[in-house]
Amino acid sequence: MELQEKVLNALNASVEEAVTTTFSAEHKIVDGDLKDISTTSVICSIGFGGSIDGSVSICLSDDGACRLVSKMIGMDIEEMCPDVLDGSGEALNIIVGGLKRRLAEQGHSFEIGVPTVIQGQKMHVTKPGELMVIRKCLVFEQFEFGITVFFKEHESGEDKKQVTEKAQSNAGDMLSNLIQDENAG
Amino acid sequence: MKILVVDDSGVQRKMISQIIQKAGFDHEILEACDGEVAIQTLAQNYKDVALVLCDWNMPKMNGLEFIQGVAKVPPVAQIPIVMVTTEGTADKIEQAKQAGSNLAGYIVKPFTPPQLKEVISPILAKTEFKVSGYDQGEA
Repeated sequence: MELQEKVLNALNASVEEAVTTTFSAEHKIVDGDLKDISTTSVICSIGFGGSIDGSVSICLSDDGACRLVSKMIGMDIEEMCPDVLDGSGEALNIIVGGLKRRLAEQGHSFEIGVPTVIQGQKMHVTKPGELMVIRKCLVFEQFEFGITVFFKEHESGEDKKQVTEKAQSNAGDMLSNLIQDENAG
Repeated sequence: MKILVVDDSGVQRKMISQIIQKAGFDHEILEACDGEVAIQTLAQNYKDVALVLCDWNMPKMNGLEFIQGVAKVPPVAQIPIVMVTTEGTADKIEQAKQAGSNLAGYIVKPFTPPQLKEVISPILAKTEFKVSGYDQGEA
């Protein structure tokens, strides 16, 4: 099986698992980018490095993020607050943890960095360099969440320190790209 | 008795606390946002703490370092710790098991309320004060 297919299958299964166990929501996962980025106001990103290097990001609107975290903690949150940002990062952390577990079972091990959460307006995740990309949309209720994975297979083994530094560097690269995007917009 | 929930995500701590309370456990919930705060909280409450639920990846002091630290201190070394983490690969679980004999369970995120209950119920049952062979009616 090609790496792209392995990552795609692992991502689908991880998102499905996270939604059914943590958010308990009726949903569907569809291919492609968000139809409308004008409402995107929160982006969470986690870099990873090892036998595969890359990052996973999720784009949410204010309302979508509030609803997501409301489902997680079982109480209504109507306005953006630190809990919503924290919960959005944790939701992505859970998805990436599932991705890591599933790919490790197929011989692709990597370490993950810490979640980076960015607030802004009309943000979009662009593709950095020559990386493979998978874009999916998670749809539940009236909300759409864009999920993007960038990755490439690593060419040689690295020690754990380098792997951790790589994960942090990937998150930093992603953050730089997002800030450039926002400034350009 | 008390349960200490250690996670750098406040939302995750809320989720775990709610599951524990909805499952019918009447323990007081203590919260800590990293291993260092957990050490301080444990130092102040160790006589009453029946269980610690601890994330792995946290700033300052991670869950593994916390388990190793607690395992070295006799008054708290017997307090059971359950790791609750997204780290779900076989090598990570083995690494956690090697960290200390105080690790009593391992839960991979995401988890359902029944999964959490299934792991912590037998641990809490062991730490409960039990009375046997005493008939109140004959007193």
